[in-house]
Amino acid sequence: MSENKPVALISGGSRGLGRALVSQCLMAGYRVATFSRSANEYIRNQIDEDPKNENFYWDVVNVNDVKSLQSFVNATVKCFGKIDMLINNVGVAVDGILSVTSAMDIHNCIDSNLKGTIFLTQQCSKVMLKQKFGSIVNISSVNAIRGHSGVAVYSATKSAIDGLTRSLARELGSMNIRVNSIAPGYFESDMVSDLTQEQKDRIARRTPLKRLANINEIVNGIMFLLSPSASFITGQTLVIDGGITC
Amino acid sequence: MLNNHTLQSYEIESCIHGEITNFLVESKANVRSISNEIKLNSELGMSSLELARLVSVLDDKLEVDPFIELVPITSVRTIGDLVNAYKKAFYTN
Repeated sequence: MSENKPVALISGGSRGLGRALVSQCLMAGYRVATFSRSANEYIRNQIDEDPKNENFYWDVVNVNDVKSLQSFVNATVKCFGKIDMLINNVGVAVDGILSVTSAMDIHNCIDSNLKGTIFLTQQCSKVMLKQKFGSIVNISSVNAIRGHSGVAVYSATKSAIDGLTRSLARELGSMNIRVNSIAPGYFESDMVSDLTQEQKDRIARRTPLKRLANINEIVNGIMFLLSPSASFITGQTLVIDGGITC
Repeated sequence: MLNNHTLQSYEIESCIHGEITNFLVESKANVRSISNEIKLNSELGMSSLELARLVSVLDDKLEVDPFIELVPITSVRTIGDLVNAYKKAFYTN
């Protein structure tokens, strides 16, 4: 019966939001394929619990390597037979004033956040076209919607992701493939671990709901967009930010 | 998926014609016979997305992808163009 279970491919599933998504998808009864640059304790535990890859498949992939993305998608199809859902979660943050940001940091941010997403989506869309079914959720950011000092390059990549979402939704809709993005606000994760408590308090004061999000509140929005409950939603960006951009 | 080490030119053509036939059955198009001169869009009514789907299916079956580097997809207008693209990819590899 496992072949009837939905298959979700989640990029960057070893930590943070990706890890929470892997756990939630497994709890929901999905089969999950994910990759990261290396295996941490969480990944090793998942592999130990499912050594035959019945519900969990992981491999080392560098999101900037197109051939390695292609191999991972092919291996996922070989392992699980299909890909119902793609969550483009990989993202790197680059902080700093643009005029003094290194070329290497700019390239790395664009390559990982944008090119990696495009190439992974290209490979998965080939599979979804054959199936005539699929749901893609791209992880955008509130920085794609509102300008913030010090995150110009990151914002540019996330705005581009929203553009990709809308155009792909139009392109793939007739094949029953939905494409949406979510724009999380600040939530407790590695990405805000560098902020001081004072900075976090300031963000909370500016947020109508007066706090940062719990990571599960972001995961719940993504699970909704993936689910049949969202079967008539495509080309949209769901903002989950406690109202900070309203 | 076919064993592409033993594929002959006519087998590539036959595979592509077979998938075109599947498309015609699915789309209920009124075409009596398949020939390489037939135009994919204007005669078969194949959209660019449907062509992309057909290419995904053929890439799996023939285990080559001519459109990554060798052939621009925009140059494919007829069934024959598609056949030639796969023959080129197959015999270049």
